[in-house]
Amino acid sequence: MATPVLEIRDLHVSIGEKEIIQGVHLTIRGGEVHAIMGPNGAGKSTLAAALMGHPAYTVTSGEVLLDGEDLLQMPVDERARQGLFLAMQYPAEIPGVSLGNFLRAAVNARMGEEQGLSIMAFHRKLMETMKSLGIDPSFAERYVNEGFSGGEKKRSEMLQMTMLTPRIAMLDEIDSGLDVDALRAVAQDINRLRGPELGLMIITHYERILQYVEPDFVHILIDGRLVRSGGKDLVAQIEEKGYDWLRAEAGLPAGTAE
Amino acid sequence: MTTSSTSLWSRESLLLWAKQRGEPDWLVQQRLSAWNALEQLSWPRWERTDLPPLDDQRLQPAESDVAGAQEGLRQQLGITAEGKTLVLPGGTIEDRSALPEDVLFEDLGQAVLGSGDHWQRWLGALVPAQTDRFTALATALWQSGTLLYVPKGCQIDVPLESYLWLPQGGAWYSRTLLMLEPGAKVTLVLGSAGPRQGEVLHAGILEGYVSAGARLQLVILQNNGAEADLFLQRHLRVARDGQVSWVLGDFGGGLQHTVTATDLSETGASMESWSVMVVGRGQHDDLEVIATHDAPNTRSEMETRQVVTEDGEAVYQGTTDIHRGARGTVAYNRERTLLLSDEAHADALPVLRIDENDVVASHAASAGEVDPEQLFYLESRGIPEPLAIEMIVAGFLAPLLDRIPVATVCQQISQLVQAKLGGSVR
Ligand SMILES: Nc1ncnc2c1ncn2[C@@H]1O[C@H](COP(=O)(O)OP(=O)(O)OP(=O)(O)O)[C@@H](O)[C@H]1O
Ligand SMILES: [Mg+2]
Repeated sequence: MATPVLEIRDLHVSIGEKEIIQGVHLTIRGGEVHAIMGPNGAGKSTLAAALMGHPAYTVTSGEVLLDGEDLLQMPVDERARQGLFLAMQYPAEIPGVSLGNFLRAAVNARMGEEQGLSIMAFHRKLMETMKSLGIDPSFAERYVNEGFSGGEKKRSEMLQMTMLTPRIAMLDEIDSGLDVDALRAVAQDINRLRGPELGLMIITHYERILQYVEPDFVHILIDGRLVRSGGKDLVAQIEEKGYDWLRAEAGLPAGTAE
Repeated sequence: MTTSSTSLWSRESLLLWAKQRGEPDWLVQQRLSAWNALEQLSWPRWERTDLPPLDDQRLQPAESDVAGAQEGLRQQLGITAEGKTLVLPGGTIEDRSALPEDVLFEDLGQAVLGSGDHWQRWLGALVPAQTDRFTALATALWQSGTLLYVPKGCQIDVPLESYLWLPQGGAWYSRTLLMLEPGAKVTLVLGSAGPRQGEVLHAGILEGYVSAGARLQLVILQNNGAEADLFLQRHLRVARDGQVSWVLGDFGGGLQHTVTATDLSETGASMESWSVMVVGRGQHDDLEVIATHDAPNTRSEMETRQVVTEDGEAVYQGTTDIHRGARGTVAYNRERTLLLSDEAHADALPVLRIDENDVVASHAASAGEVDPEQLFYLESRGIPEPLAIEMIVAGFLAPLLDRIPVATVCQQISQLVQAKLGGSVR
């Protein structure tokens, strides 16, 4: 299969009457890691969720192509089956549905009816993957995200990503709430998945994860616009100076978004 | 049954029919006095269920297609009818060999013949004929039903199953009697289903006596056609330290009103009730579960989960009645509803009546729709919406199913839920 490519052209996204994303251009190709940073409320999660098709967000204009296909025409599940993945900042809890059963349905959906795994084969793959990610096998029996600690939820998102082998993955604050060891482990998991078959968008507030997972591009999102793109040296600058100088540069009012 | 059905519709023909069956005098008299009472009785009036006018035509006892029963039951309830199974009407029972000899498990209609006045005092003691027109009709005209008698100390490990296949039109009247002697233990599955098409009415009475220290697990599954209207009265009395566990799975039927009552009449008696209702297009399902605490240290726990789809209407009333003197009572009453469509309608009314101070009692009810965040999460992993909703429903029911003590019944219920939603969610 050809290298994946996600093309976002002049994307505008609103919640109700309020425009949150105000014209974003971005292209992510297989093999690339794009970091997206920006102050609280800038619209990072909105961008990712809108790309995934969350019903609360309305795309008012713009175009998004996944491997040349019109992503915005696809229902959410179709986007996922085409290889888009979103590790959520706040993953939902699904009481009564075990992580194992959930993943089985997801893997079968992603692989298509014919290529779906037998129960046995799936179980073997799940156990191997959990082992390699250092996740206790008992999690397969637990209800999806219910009672998971913050860090466990993030690990569960990584498990799902690993099982589903996406082509373009968006990781929304996969590093938040992780202790130092867990952070290193998650970074390792990401690095293991890196390759020409996977394009990555990593949304983060912290330099740390980007020291482990070196980004090819760093973009700064402020007030719904990508105000600056650059290399990983941008991360250190942000760490040192914050975001106000970028606001000033972009002619935006200083201070945090409302 | 060879008598043609319409001939039952008068006092004289009822008398003749009962005599031809060879029924004992007390039973014939019981039928006739119920028939006579019909005149004075009105149709029941329920708070949230309206009864349409019922003409004599709809009330005529009809005969059921015994030959089609096995296949129909297989399709609609997923049963194999193998093993210790009674299929009504007809009353065939297979594999009786494994039952202890003094256990009675058969068609009540057969059992009352030639057994003197043995059953007289038990029939109508908990659900009197005069309760309403339906109970009077059922008392007068009942055609068959399950009899289960388990003698003292007898513990039966395999579940006994009894299935009813309704006729395609007209009415069916049933009467069920359960008796557990002290220390007896049994699991009974009562299933009912009927042809997918056809306007049919079923009025039935179930009475059961759970003696001291006896344990009854009673599973009642129903998946009738969409035009089957069901009016059922079930009533159990539990003696000292007796235990009852109800599992109710309601899937089919059109208009329904069911009362499921348990009297905790002696010290230490307990009941639990787990109900699953899936109510869909054109259905109105009104379920009333009552626990009456009439003695000290009695315990009741009821939980109902309703899933309502399309324009279905679900009504649930869980009543906990704690009488004076029932010291040390513990009672829980919970109800949760999941609405799958904007047209779906649900009413849940937990009622707590307490006339005693020394009790622990609580009730809770909640209703909600599918959480869009949960749906988005599942869909974002590639799971199509109908399957995602099925999974959310299964998850919603899981905590309740987990408490059902019979594993095969859990599976059966899960499959019925899936089959039903598979048709309506897509
Ligand atoms: N469902 C929603 N309803 C109303 N407002 C919303 C909703 N989701 C996001 N917003 C608003 O949109 C703006 C952007 O939010 P978003 O979550 O995208 O920010 P973010 O950049 O991810 O912030 P953070 O770094 O804190 O995670 C915020 O002002 C937020 O309050
Ligand atoms: Mg965010």
